[in-house]
Amino acid sequence: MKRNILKSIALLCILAMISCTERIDIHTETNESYPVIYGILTTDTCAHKVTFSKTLPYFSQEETPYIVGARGYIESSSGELFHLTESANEIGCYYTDNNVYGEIGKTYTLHMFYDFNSDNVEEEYTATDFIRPTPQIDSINFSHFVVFSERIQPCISFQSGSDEAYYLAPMAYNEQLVTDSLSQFITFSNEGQRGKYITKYPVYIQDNEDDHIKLLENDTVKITLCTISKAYHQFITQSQKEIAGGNPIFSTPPANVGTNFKGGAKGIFVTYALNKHQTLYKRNE
Amino acid sequence: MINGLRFSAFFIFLLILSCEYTHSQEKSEYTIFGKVVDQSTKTPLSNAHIVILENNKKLSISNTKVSDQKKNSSSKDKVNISNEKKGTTSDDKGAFELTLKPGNYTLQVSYIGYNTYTEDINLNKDINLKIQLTQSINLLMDIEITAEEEDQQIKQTTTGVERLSSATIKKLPSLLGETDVIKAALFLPGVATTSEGTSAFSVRGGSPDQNLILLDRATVYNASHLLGFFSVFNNDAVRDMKLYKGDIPSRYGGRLSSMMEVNTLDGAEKFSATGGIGLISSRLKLEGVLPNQKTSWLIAGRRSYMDLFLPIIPKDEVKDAKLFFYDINANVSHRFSDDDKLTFRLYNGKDRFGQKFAQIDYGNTTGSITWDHFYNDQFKSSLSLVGTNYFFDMFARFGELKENWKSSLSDFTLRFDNDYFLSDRTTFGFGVTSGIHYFKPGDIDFGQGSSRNPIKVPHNKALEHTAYFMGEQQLNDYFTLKYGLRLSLFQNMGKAKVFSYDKEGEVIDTTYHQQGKIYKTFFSPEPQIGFVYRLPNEASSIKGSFNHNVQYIQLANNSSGGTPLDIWFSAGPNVKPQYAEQLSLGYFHNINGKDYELSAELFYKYFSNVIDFRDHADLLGNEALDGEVLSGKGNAYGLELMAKKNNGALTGWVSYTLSRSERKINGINEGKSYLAPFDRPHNLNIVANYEATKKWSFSLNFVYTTGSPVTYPTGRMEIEGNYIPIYSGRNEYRLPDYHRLDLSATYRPERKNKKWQSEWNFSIYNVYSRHNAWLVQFVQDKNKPGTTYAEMTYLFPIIPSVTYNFNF
Repeated sequence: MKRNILKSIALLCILAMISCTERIDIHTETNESYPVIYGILTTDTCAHKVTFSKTLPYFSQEETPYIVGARGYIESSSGELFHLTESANEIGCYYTDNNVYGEIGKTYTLHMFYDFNSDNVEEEYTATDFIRPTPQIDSINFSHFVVFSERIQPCISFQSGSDEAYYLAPMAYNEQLVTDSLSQFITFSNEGQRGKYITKYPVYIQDNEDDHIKLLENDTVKITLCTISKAYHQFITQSQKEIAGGNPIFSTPPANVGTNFKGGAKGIFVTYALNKHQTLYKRNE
Repeated sequence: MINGLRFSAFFIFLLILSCEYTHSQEKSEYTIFGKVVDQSTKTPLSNAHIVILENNKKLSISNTKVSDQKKNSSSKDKVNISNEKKGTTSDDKGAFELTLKPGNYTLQVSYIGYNTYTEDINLNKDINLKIQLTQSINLLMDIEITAEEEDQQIKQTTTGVERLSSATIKKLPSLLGETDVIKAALFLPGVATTSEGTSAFSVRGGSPDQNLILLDRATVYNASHLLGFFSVFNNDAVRDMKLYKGDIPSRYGGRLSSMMEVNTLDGAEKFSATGGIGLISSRLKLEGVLPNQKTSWLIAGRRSYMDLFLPIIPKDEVKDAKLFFYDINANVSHRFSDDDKLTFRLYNGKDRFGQKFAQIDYGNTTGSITWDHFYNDQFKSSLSLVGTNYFFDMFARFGELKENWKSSLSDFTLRFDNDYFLSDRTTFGFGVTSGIHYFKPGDIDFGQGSSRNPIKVPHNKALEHTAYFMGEQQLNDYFTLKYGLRLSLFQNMGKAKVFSYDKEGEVIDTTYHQQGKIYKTFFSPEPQIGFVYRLPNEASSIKGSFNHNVQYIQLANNSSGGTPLDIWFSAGPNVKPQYAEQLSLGYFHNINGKDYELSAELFYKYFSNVIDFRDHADLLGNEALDGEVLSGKGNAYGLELMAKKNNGALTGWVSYTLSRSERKINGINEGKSYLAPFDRPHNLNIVANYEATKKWSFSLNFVYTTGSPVTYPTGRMEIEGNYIPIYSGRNEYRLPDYHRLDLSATYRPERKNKKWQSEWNFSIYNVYSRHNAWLVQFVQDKNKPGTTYAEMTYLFPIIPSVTYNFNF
């Protein structure tokens, strides 16, 4: 969130300048292609999804090629195996059975197998994560303030753990996910607040004039708190920075986003416990 | 012990070298030894014109000045001249020497911007003269205050030094009419901007924090106004600027790449006012002398006024914005006697920009108080107390999200500098400095009611002591040797909290040091040696130099542009000092006196412990900042060519630099060598000024540089609806090449009032509106799945401006 503030100020600075934009032609070429795996296992009981695709040259005009015919499973530290089945409807998506759930305190390892380099030998890609306990959200409040236009700021209050922790907070209005793409994911740490009761922590800034999903009186607001690994927190923040691009004043040089996969795949496999809380949005409360 | 022995041996070597070179003189002639200085500052005036007129008698000149002895004495012929003026110019120490037959003469000494000195001389013995020139009232234009000796380029021993006078800088077309010392320096060979519109610059492939910027001896840590669009130096108050591109005199140090020395003016002998009204800012300089005629003063100020016009712009984003800068220079100089002078110099500047919900303030304050004492004509000492402070404050408030950030860096240094002019052939300088640095990298408060603990990035203190000795000796008529040794001691001092890190930069241990405890010490000898070999044709010279420099403090900033958020941090238990060795070799040639100057310089620099930062480093508000630092090796090499025309209606220069700068640091680019962000293989500058008539003059700048190295994505992966770039190696691609043409015209109306002078300056920045890339971003077209494109941001299209300058 600190970076968001700084970015806002950076944008303000840029507003003060005379700047214009135009498209330019840039040619970057690569013959290299990598497998990309993105999998999530939570404490919810449901069919958990793993997507398997591959990279493209940056300026390719093709849509992302998803990989079919792979196989895989998730293994828990207690020896359970959750096999993945390729979806018939969604290309490149592999699901567990719909009665699978992760348990707090267990470590899970995703194994994916696919002959990516077409040498008739399957490569194995593995990644491991651990499920940490997640605190309950006690309440959701809303702040209102004006920055050029009125903003609504949903805030959560909860008891932070005493250890270093990183949180993800997906949010939905009337069951419609607002934070529906990686660039909108909300992640933060308990740095400086370990073991404390965190009051009114702002997780989002809603602008009803600009945002495509509006927040209106009596809408249901649901926020899910998830305790994630530092690796996933970094994956999200690094991805967001690279997606947004940088400006020469405040940004650091571009760099590849990290991964927790072994075997040469990009992407990430994450596990987390989640707790949900919902309330009705009342303008005057 | 070994270091001590080496130092002793080196010192003895210097003593041997200091044995005077003697030569015979004919008894039928006498010599006038003279030294020309500024009456107010006692500063030696180089290139003062000394003219000797022999009244109705034949004049024989057998010698002019030390450096010309060979030329004249070797011919063995006396030149008999009747009723003609003859003379010489003072050298860079203000000294001159004339050997003449006995007789009555009239001596005239003149210097641009000073009143002419005249004295009748009955020459019947050798005489010593100390000539003190008084400044005339500054005219609005045409003051080349730092005029150079006619053969200065050939004679001076320092390699890679560039000088620009205030008048030269003023002639250059500038962005929005704001004359700028640093922007002018960017037209010099070996100097490149790091990004469009910034005051940060790179010298010979080094990073911006490797440049020591001194304003009247005080370090300026952030020399930018308005995010770097303008520098902090008000040209009205500036006397001159010198840029040492690596061959930094031993008197100063602490940086690897360059030293930019900006000196401000002393007050004039009579009251005068100079000012200007521009589109962005206005400025006023007042100067004069108190009735006691011993105390001169100067005050100069600028303030921008964009903020005054913002409310009339109907956009909410703009009308409530705060956006201004100001700066003030104040100098007071009191002369107690001919030999003692006390000078006080102060600079204060600040920028503010923001909105109701967020604001940034930053600025510099520098000050110095200096006592100059002349023991005699040969020996001078200066005792100075110098202080500097750079601060950066920021607050932001977005509903429940509040952040208040304060950071600063302060230095206080006591200097004792001495200059000993043993003879016109041999000079020495020596001295000591002792100083303390206070680093406050960031105190962040999250406001009342926040459950977040304030973040206090550990404050640090460091002591820095130096001793130096430097000398310059003309060994014969052709060869001059320059040498120096600087010994620096840098000590980290408690109270401090120091982390230990693993290979990944994660904190594994913490050590607390008590108040006042020295917990880490670095000692570095910094030797340097150089020579100039003047070729027998008197118009050419070859120069060479070797320098070893060390840098103990650096900037935690890996952006390519200048930023107000400069966090400096010191060497310590986790960060080693950076070192650089530089070799320079140059050939210099003058044509027709100083009318044309040609030069070619080769340089090679090798960096050790040069720093960069881990991928995705978090440098802001990070307690474990030094865990993000990686260090390795680097090198830079190149060729600088320059052709300069100094006289006539058309003046200016063309410079071209061919260079390469690389880094190799474990942990970056998979440990493979990569281009430094400031690598510019080709850099061409053309600067021209044409004095068409007394009323009109025209100027032109053209710059062409290879685009900056950048890292572009070569691939992409899709996760949760977003394309995430995949990059190749660090800095494998380049931004489009940068080029720009600027023009200006200056109109000086006929003076109707003797006191009031004025001029209009019309300038056009980026005449052909080249869209120079400031930033390239990569965009995912949400409406067309599978489509990505590159988008370039550029800052300045064609920008005309007009400025009115006045003087009375």
